[in-house]
Amino acid sequence: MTHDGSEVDPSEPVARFLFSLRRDVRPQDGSIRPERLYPYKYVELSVSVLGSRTPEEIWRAGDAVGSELPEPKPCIGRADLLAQAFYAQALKVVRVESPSDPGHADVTGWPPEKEAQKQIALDIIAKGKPVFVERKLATPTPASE
Amino acid sequence: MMFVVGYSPDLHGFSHTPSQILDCPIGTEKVEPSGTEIAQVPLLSEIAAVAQECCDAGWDGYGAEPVSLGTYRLAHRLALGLPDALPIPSVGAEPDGSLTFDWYRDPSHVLSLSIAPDGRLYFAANVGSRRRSGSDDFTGVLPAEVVDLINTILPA
Repeated sequence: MTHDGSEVDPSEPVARFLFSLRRDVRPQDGSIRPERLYPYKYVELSVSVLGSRTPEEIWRAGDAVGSELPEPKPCIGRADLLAQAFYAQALKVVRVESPSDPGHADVTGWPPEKEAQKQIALDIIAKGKPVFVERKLATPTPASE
Repeated sequence: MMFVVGYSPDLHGFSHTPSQILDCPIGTEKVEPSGTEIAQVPLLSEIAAVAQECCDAGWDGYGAEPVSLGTYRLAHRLALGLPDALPIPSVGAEPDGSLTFDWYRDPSHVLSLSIAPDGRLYFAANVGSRRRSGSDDFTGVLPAEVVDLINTILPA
């Protein structure tokens, strides 16, 4: 994959979109499971730079990712953290053009060894402290009788 | 009590629930559970549930590999090989199709163990300020180092 964009500033918040509360978030303390931060398939991790977008714009980008699911579904939340959390692990966060997400970036520079990637993900969570932001999906109101 | 472990490319079903029968024409195994399996029903059920949720390509929205029947069976075997005194892990799935066993106290005390489609075990652990990671061939039981780390992270 070609990265012809600029590096994201370390102070910028970035997000990883989530689609399963049970699978992505620990019930004990609401922390993000490290598997959600593993790079794949090109030893890169896709993230979205929040920037100055509105919540609706951000969730729309998450829904675009959700449209790629085998059974498309809306984004249920995201893991927010500063780009600095990746730079602290000797990774880079590079903007990449995407038609569905104007904030798309890739986290690059991962080691190829799986156990090293796992360790980095644990350290990102321990030190970067990603926050689970749950999306409040509007519940349909029942039709009045 | 009867367990059914079945998988069909069409049905994409995994089940380890005693009361549930899957009509899986391919790869169905009906087995009488051993005493060990009965004791591990919660963990085996969670493995099946995660495999079920992640058995299609792209299940995470970012191009993840599906969890295969082979990986499911490896995780099942790993679960049955866990020492009795070890805390029950939580189960997850990874974008390369691996299944994860996770022992967690807090972000500084956690061990994540992957059983990969190629039959390798990969682990990484935070034990306070210590960091440990490694890999090994899966022989049916956990490496002693991993057991020791888990007992340090979650002492009895």
